[in-house]
Amino acid sequence: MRSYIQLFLILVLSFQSYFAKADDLNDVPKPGLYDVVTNIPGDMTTWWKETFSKDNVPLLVGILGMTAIGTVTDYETWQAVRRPYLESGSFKKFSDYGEVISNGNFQVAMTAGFLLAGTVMTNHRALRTGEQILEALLASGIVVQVIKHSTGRESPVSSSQRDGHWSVFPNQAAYQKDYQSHDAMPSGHLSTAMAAFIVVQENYPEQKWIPYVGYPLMGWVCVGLVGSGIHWWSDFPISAALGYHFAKIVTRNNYPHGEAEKNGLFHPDIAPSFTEEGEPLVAARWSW
Amino acid sequence: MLKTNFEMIICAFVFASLFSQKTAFAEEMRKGESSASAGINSEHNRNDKWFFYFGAGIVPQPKFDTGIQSNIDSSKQSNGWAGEYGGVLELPGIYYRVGESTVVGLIGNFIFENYASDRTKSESLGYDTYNISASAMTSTGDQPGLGYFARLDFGPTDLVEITEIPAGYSRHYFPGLFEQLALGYGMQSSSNTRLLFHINTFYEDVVDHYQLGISFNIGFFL
Repeated sequence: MRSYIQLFLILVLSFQSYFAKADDLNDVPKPGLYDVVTNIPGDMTTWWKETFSKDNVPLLVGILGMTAIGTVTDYETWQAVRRPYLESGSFKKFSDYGEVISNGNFQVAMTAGFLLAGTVMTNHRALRTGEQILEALLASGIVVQVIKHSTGRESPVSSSQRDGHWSVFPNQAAYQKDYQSHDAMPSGHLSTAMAAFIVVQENYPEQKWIPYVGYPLMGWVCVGLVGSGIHWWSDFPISAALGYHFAKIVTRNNYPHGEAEKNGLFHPDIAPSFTEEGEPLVAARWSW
Repeated sequence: MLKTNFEMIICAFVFASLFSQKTAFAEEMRKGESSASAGINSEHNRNDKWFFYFGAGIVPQPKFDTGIQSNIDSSKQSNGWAGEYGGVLELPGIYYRVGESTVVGLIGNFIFENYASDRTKSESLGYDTYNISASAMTSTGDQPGLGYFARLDFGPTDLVEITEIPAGYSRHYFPGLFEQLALGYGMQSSSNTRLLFHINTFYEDVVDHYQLGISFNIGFFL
């Protein structure tokens, strides 16, 4: 097991080096040392305002609707993955690795890799990516923990009833004593994994393969968490939305010139100028 | 069999009716610039060719043939932890746009039902459906997934009967065909996401057995 983890970390660090060497699309300013902490209150405020806004009602209805429908049928959908998990050794390994890549250690290793590569190679974009992963993890983690401590839902493996008992606003001492009986909703594993993946995607938009790898990885994480009995399927819509939203919030100002700059198409810069004779001109500069 | 064919004819008739009405309705919308069913951001994704869909739903107990139904009834009598609903997962739906508001593609329909279970005795009876279907969807809005829509799925399926006893699980596989009609409504939920509500009527015709049911679904069309 240890050799697998070492191999995994080597692969992760290799990926960081690859990203760190990539040419920057623009001049990324060096991120501030304390941005990770100082940005979080603003991130939380933005999340609150955007989540509970009138424009967001259809999306909220969809996410909560999927959660509600999933809750009604959680036992059935859990059993569909749990049975092969108990029967097949290879499926159990597959599921367990899905849980391992979302338990936080992998995301911390990613963050460390980006920060290390960014510092060693003086690559501001890698530094920014590392800091933003950390920022998204902390900001989404706070909301996830608040919801967990408020809903108190049983995990599948420790459920006392068919679809997991809900202890709304549970006794916090009881929560700490037996967290598996209280912390199923939402999934911190998935929100963490989703936040890290979206931050990397937003920082390296020219790497078109990232979503094709990232989204199947998120599916793998979900199967792993359900198979191992840590989460129900209905825990995931809110978790994925939290991770995705916070990642989008922390990366929002990466490309102030918009989609064109993000896609590396051009970088227009228009400014007034004068000829040597003093006649006014408009100077335009496009770089790509 | 006669009943089955009759139901399929009704489904086909409803689908054809909706399709013809869609053509007329879309024309009216173009004329009047009506946006009532087009959503708040109908300009988005106007030129997209590929779409992705995932959804979830619940299935009140479907109608089975007498063989399966008697198994369910006897298992319910001996075990006390029966579920009222089955779960549906629809993913991944991958669609290609072939018309202004019509898409075709492939979708997976997975239905999980567990009619009796007793965890303390490790006894249960479940029926799972694994289906990959060719799928076509058409909408009344000016883009796929906006406004009222109809979706037709057709493809191979495997109905799996899973019996749990203390010694482990035993499975029986019944391959066959799966047909489904979905009717619903889609609205813009964000700049590039649409929220779809729909009711599915499905018929699973497998070796020696059949299953006929409806499901209530919700999903996102991206």
